[in-house]
Amino acid sequence: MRKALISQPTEPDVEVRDGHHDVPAGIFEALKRRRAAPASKLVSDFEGGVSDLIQSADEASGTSRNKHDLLCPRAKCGSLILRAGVGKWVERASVQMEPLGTQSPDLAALPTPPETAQWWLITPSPMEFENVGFTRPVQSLTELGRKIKLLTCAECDLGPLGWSQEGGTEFWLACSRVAYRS
Amino acid sequence: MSPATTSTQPVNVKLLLIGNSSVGKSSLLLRFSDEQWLPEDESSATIGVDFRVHKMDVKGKKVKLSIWDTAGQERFRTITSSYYRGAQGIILVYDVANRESFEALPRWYSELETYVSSSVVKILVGNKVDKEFSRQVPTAEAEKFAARMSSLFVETSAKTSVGVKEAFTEVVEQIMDTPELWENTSARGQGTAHGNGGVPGGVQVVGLMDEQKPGEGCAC
Repeated sequence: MRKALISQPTEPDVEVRDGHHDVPAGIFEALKRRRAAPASKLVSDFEGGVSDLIQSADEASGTSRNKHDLLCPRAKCGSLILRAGVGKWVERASVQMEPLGTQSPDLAALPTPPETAQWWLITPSPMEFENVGFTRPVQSLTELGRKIKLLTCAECDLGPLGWSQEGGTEFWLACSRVAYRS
Repeated sequence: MSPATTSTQPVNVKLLLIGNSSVGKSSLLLRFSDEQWLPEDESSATIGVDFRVHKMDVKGKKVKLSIWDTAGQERFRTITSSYYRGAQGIILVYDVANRESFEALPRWYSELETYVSSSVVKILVGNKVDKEFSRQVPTAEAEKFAARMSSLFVETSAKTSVGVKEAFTEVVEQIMDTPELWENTSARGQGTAHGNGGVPGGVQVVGLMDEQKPGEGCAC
């Protein structure tokens, strides 16, 4: 059986062999295109925690939206995932997102369901995101009786950053698993 | 919806990646990937990235691409018509260091003849040019083939990202320049722009087929 596409072989960003005379054409342009990751912070870097991340202006509507752009939490990636103001802050039950109890060292652990966690809720379409990846439905994971898809960074595949129900219109990013543009 | 929307409203474009296994389709979208967070034995045919949303600027317009990957189904030749539905652009990928992946292309093109309208933009992508030392498909030969198949052509390296951005930009530019890919939207309405993986009035390339199971109707 073929291994999951998402688990791609480890490859260095750019490999330059044999010194100066064997550099493939275009490689310097490619290097220049690799932008520096933007400065970002994690929830744990904010003194007030999640409350520092919520826009204060829209109290009238009763919805609290993300004040900062949401980025991939991997320091050297920093891909823009969601623009400020697009996600709605929700506290709801945590979700088991790691298949078979695997856990990326780069990502914060989430509370065990039914404990609650902090989420950014995005609706109604994946096109609300700037950059995001969706896995195929994971056989072993369900939420409210339906299989879930996992949300990943579109540019480096780090995940799971969040989840959605198969066929659903609600997309959930864990507040603790994204970075916040400074 | 026409491509000439206001500058604040991005244009949604649906692209598909097709080609043999292991030609690097998925890697074309990744700046790097050293994270292995899904165990390899986890139902591998079902996990893997289904699609990605990528925002880019093309000719001064904001474009949101939804790029669909076959997640290994090509191995079993089980790509269904629903996969092709609504696509405006097709990216056919082969590996320049793997002759077999090039020779499989006519089969992919005949599948396209079955499932997509001839106006859908096609680009042939010779990937893995970083493996120049083991190249098995000359550039000139592939270029000639692409021209015969009315396709754009580019060689790329997902590893060094040479040509990758150009590949996507070229496809999107040609899609923007092909109005019929944006017509016939009224019957489907604006509703499809949301909750359907960004297929705003994409061409209805085939009639509704039976392969689509409940729950697969949506991108999410």
